[in-house]
Amino acid sequence: MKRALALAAIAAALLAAVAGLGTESRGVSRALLPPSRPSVVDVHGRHKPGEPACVACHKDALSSRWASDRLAPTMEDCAACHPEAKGVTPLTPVTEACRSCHGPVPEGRRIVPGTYARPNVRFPHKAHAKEPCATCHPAAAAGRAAPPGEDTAGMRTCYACHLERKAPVACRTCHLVEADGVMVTRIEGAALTPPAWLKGPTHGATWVQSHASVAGSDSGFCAACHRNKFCGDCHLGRVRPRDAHPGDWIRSHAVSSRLDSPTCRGCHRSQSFCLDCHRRQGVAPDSPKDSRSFQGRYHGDLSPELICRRARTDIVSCASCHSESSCVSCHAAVNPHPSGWERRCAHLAKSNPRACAKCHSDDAWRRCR
Amino acid sequence: MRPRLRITLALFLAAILGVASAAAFDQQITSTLSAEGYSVPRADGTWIARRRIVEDLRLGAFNLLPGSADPYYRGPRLSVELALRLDTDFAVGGDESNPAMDSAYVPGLTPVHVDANVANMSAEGLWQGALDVRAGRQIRMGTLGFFAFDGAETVVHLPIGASFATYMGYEVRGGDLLGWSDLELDGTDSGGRHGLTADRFPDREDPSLRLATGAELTLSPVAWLDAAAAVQAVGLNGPIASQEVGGRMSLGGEPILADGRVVWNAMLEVLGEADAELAVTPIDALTVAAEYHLFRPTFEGDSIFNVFDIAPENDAGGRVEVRPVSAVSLAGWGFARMADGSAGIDGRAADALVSGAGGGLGGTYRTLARSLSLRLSGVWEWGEKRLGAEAGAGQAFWNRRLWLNLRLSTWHLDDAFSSRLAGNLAGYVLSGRFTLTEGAVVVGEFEHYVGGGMEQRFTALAILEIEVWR
Repeated sequence: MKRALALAAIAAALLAAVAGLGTESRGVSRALLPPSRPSVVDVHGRHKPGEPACVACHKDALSSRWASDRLAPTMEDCAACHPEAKGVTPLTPVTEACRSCHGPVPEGRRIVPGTYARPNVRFPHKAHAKEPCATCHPAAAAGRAAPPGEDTAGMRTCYACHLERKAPVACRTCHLVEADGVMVTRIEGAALTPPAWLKGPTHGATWVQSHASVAGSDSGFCAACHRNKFCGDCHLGRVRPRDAHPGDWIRSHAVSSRLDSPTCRGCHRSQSFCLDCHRRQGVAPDSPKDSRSFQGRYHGDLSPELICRRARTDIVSCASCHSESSCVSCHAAVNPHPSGWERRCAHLAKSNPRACAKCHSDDAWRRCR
Repeated sequence: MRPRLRITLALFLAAILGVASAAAFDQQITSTLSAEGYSVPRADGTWIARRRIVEDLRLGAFNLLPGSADPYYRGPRLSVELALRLDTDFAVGGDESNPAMDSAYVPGLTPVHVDANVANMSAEGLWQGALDVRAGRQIRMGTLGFFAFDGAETVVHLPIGASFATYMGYEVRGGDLLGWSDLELDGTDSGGRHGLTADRFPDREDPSLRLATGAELTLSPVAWLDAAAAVQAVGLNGPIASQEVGGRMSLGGEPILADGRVVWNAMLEVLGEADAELAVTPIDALTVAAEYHLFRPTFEGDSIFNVFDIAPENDAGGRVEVRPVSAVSLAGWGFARMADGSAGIDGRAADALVSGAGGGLGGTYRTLARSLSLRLSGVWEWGEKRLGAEAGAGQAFWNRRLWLNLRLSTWHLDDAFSSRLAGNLAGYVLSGRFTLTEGAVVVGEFEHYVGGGMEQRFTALAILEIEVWR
C-alpha cells in the first residue's frame, strides 16, 4: 500500500513538473501569425468593453477578405473620438496627450509607426461576420490588455468551430498552399507539423515506425502537406533512406529483416527486390554459377529441421533467397501444410489451383475442390 | 502496345490537348538526379560494384479549370501528373544481363530500367463537391494498404460525413512495360522469362495482366469517430491472386485515442493483419501508448508460400513520448514477441512464452537551423540479436543555404544463420545539403563503415533536386 502511494506520488510530481510543458501547442503559432508591433500601447485596455463597438475603430473588418488586410485604425479613425489626433503627422511634436496612447516616448524623439506583420494564413473576416468578435478576440472584446498577436483564436478553436458549424475543415481552407494544393509547411522561423490533438502525436522521435497507422487510416491527411514524391522517395525509392536503414545496412539487413525491425514489407517484395540482389551476390540457391559463393552452405551447420522451424515464423525472409522450387525439392516428401489444411484448402483450390498444381497431380487437387 | 498502356497514354494526351487552350494554369517540373556508388561483398571475398544513376522526373499541371487558382475558389479542380523514372547501373556486367550466359545471368538484372510511377488525371469536387475521379496509373493508400494500378477510382462524398470509393484497373507489376515491382503482390517472380528454357529459373514467370477491383466506405460522422470498411480482389480475369476484406476504427481523440485495424485474407481464410493501439495524452507534452500487432504473411494466389504452416508474428508493446517544447521529442518504446509454441532454433523450449523482444530510447531536437538526435535500440529473437546506438548532429550555415550533418553509429550483430555476419561494426555518415538557388538543391553524402570481419565499406551519394513552377 505504501509502495503504491509512493509510486502514485512520484507520478503526480512528474506530471506536475511537465504539466506546463508543451502548452505552446494550445496558443497561436508565431510562424502563422507573426507578432505585430502597434504604435499604441494597451489600446483595448483603455476602452470600456463595447464602447465604442469594435467596428467603430476597425471599420473594414466585416468586409475584409484577406488576412493581410490592414484592419488597425488609422489616426484619422481615432480622431473621431480623440480630436487631438486630428491632423497629426510623424513630424508633429510629441505631447503628453500622445503619450497617453503611444506609451512613454523620450523627449525629443518621434513616435515609431507600428508594424503589422503579414499573417501566413487565409482568413476572410467577411465570411465570419456573423460571429461575435469576442469568439476569437476575447481579451479585446472584454477590454483587457493582451500582448500583440496573442488575442487571436488558435487552431483548436478554429477547427472546433468549423466542425460544429459544418464549415470546411480541409487544411487548405485556412493554410497557405502551393499551386498543387499542398500546404506550405516551411515558414520563416518554423516548420509546421500537425498538432497532437488532431490525429494523435505525430512527427516525433518514433514517427518512422508509427506513421503507418496514421497514413493508412487517412492518407488525405498526409497528402495535405506531402506530395506523392515524398512518400515515394521511401516506398518506391531507389536511394536508401538513412532513417529507415541505419548503420551499415548492407551488412546488418539480414539480421534486421529476420527480426522484422524495421518492417521491410512496406517498401520491398521478397521475390523481386530481395531475390534479384541475392542471386547476384551468390547467396540464393539458384544463383548463377559464377557468383555462387556459399557452395550451398549459407546456413552453416544448422540442421534442416531447425531452419524450417525458423521458416515457420519468418517465411518472408526465406522467400528473399529461395524461389519455390527450393521448397518443392524437400516438401514433395514432407507435408508442409498446417494441421486442418484439408478442411481449408478447398476455397484456395477453387480460387486459384495453380499453387496446388505445383506440387500435386491433377487428380489430387481436383479431389480437394 | 499493351492495351492499358495505350489507354493511360491516351488519357494523358487528351488531358494535355484538351486543356491546352485553357486559361493560365500552374505547371510543375521536378527532377531528382541521384548518383550512388558502393560495393557489396560476397562471401568468397570478391565484391559487386554498384554504380547507379537514377533520374526521377515529375511533371504536373494543376488548376486547369479557369478561376481554380483563386485562393477562395470552391469549384471543381482538375490536375494531371506524370512521374517517370530511369534507373541505371553502369557496373552491371554484360554477362549478368544476358540470358544466353548460363553461368552469369541473373534474371531481373538490367543495366537500364525505365518505369512510370504515376500517370493520371484527377478531377476533384465535381457534382457540387460530391465526386472525385482519378484515371490512369495511380497509387492508393487505404485500409488494406498500398495498391498501385492502371485504371480509375471514383470517390463519392456523402453528406453524413461518409465517403464511398470504388476502383478498378490492372495491377502494376514489375514485368510490365514501364512497370515496377515495389508494391506488387509478393510471392512469385513474374519479371518475365525473356526466352529462358524451362529448366533455367523454372519459377520465373511471364507477367500477366491482373484485373483488380475494390471498394472502401469511410465514415466520420462526428469528430471522435473515424471508421472504414474495405474489400479488394485481384485477378478477376483469371486465377484469383488476392481477396481481402478489412476494417479500421479510430475512437476518441484527446486525451484518449483508440485505434484498431484488421485485414482478413478471404482466399486463404486467415487473419492477415491486426493492429490495435490505445494512446493516452493526459497533457500536451506526454503520450503513453499500448500497442498490439499481428502479422501473418500472405502471398499472391499463385504462390506455394501460402500453403506452408506459418506462425504469425504477435507483438505486444508500448511507447512513451514526451514533447516538452515543439522542437524536442523524447521517446521510449518496447515490445515482446509471443512465441508460437514450437521449439526455437536456439534450443528454446516449446512452452516458452516469449520468442523475442526489443526496445529503445530516442530523442530529437530539430529547428530550421540545427538538429540533434540520439537513438539506442536493441532487438532479439531466437538467438539473433541487433544492438545499436546512433547519434546525429546537423547545423545550418549561410542563412540556412548550407546544411551539414554528421551521423555516428555502432552496432553489434548476432546472426544464428551465418556467423560471417555476426560481430561489431561502427561508422559514420557525413552529408551536406546546399541550396544553389530557389528550387535547386544539391546533396552530397559519404558513408564509411568498419568492422564485422570485413574490409572497410564506403558509399558515396550525390543528388541534384530541381523544382520549377510556372
